Amino acid sequence: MQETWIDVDGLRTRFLTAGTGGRPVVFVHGGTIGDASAGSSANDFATILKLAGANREAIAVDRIGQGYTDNPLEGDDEGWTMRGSVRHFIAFLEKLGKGPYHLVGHSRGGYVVTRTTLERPDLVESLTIGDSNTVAPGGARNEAIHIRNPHPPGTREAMEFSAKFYYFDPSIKSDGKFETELAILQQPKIKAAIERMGEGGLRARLFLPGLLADREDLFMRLEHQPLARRVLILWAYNDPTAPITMGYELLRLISRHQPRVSMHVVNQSGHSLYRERPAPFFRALNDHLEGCYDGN
Amino acid sequence: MATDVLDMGAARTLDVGGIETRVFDEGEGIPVVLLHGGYPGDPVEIQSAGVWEPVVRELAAHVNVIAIDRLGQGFTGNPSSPADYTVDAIAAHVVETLKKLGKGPCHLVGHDEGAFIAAQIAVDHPDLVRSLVLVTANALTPGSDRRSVVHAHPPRPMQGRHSLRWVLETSCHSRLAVCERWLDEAVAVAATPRHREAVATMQADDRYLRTYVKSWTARRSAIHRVMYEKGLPCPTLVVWGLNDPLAPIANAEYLMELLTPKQRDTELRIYNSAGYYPFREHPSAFSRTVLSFVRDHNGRKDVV
Repeated sequence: MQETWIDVDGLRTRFLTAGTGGRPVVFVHGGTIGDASAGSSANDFATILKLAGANREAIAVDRIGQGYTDNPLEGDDEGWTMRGSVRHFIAFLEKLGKGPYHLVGHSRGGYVVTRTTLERPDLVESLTIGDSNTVAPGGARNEAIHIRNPHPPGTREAMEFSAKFYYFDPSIKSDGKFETELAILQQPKIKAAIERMGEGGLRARLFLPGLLADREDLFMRLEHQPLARRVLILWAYNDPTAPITMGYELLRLISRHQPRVSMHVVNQSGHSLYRERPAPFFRALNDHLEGCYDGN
Repeated sequence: MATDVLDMGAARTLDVGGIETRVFDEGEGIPVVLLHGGYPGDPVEIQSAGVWEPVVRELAAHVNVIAIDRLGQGFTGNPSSPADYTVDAIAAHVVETLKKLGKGPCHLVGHDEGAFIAAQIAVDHPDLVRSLVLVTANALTPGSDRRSVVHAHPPRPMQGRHSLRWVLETSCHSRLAVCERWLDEAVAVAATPRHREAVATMQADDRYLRTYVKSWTARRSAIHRVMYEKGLPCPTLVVWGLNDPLAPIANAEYLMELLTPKQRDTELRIYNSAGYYPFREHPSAFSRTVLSFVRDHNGRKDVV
């Protein structure tokens, strides 16, 4: 696995790659810029990158203000919203210049790749959406878990508490993965982002209202317009924050105008299917990528 | 007796305990058994191994595909006595056929009633089954299908070409999925004296309800108890068409609720623009899904 940095519209952007050749597949992680409770990043896909890299170039990028990618530039308020995250991702794909790409997005990253497919289908070969209560219609349930967390955000204790709810088998996460996230959260730029988004900050003023409006817009678009590429929806049966019923609803929504959408559900996994059940996750994904050009 | 009008390789006829049995046995490698739906003596629909035609070639390029006309259906003979029009006799016939073919533990892919028989074999003979692919497994799901509404008034004459076309067209998402070759097979089966005898036998003495349905509901309850108490004994993939006019997708969701608590390796695959026969409307995607699933579960007990 290789770590690379490139400049994307003035932001130092970090991505991981494994494998070479073929039509590249790009993985987009979840989480929210300036969220003190999780350090989501390209590292989340370490296991999957190795599997996917066996027969093609597999890429995972740190979204704007997350992982080791820079925070938005001074004066760029939109950079702190999901719209800004999509804009940065599209700019990253263009800068890389290897399109069209197979896009795979998890959770909030599922929104990024879905929006990219709507706005810039020319950059997209296929779309995969995993456990995303940001894209699926209905109510997310993350808050119900976070509100019960008695530990200060960003501590190991808080992460262990969350993992107990987010994972079907919490022991999966205990092996070194907390440390990766804690190291990310220790960076000064992440602390600055948390400060910017935190109490009285951009999260309540800009991020959440913007996301609300953009989701409504997305649902209306999908009611009337196709996602112009084949879609796979991958969902963990026991996801506590993006319940399986939301996945079924998303399938129904996309199915209206995209005949080539299918859904694959895997049992005994919480929110991070690609970490808890990497083998069936990758099997279903690989069938989708390899079958991208199938006729009947 | 055996007809190989289909693009499935040469049909073989086996004598299985005195029952002439049509079998297709193509390709080499991992044994994958295809079990069609339906039941003996259905006066409306015709089901036989030919239903799998669009996927046999793709599967047989990589694995050993075995498609069997089940007892009292297709070009296989009827049960030896009226009392044997039961799911138990049908399942026993599949097991005997595989034994006769010299197959070891297999992956069973069943469609609706064929999925029921597959699950029944897995429960009764766990040593014979490596994994299950349950396609439109409505007969296995609690709750009812919509057949009695959708297929309430078939065009007459029943099981003529026109009527059979109507039955298939109203089962699929797109009528374009219904090709002439599929109908050729159905019409040929419907015309056999064997099938007419099965229809007559099932209708006499209310045998369909008193014998077949009785055996089916009793076994279904027993299988549900197994699912609930210890789970199905092998990895299980459920496959469904989102637009199924006969077996609503809600039944797939219901089946998942039953299967998931006790069988870790349970998965569900739903295809859009697919009705009751997802493998006919998305043959390539279906073949890929089955192939990768059986490869992952061919003897490995430790899949992550």
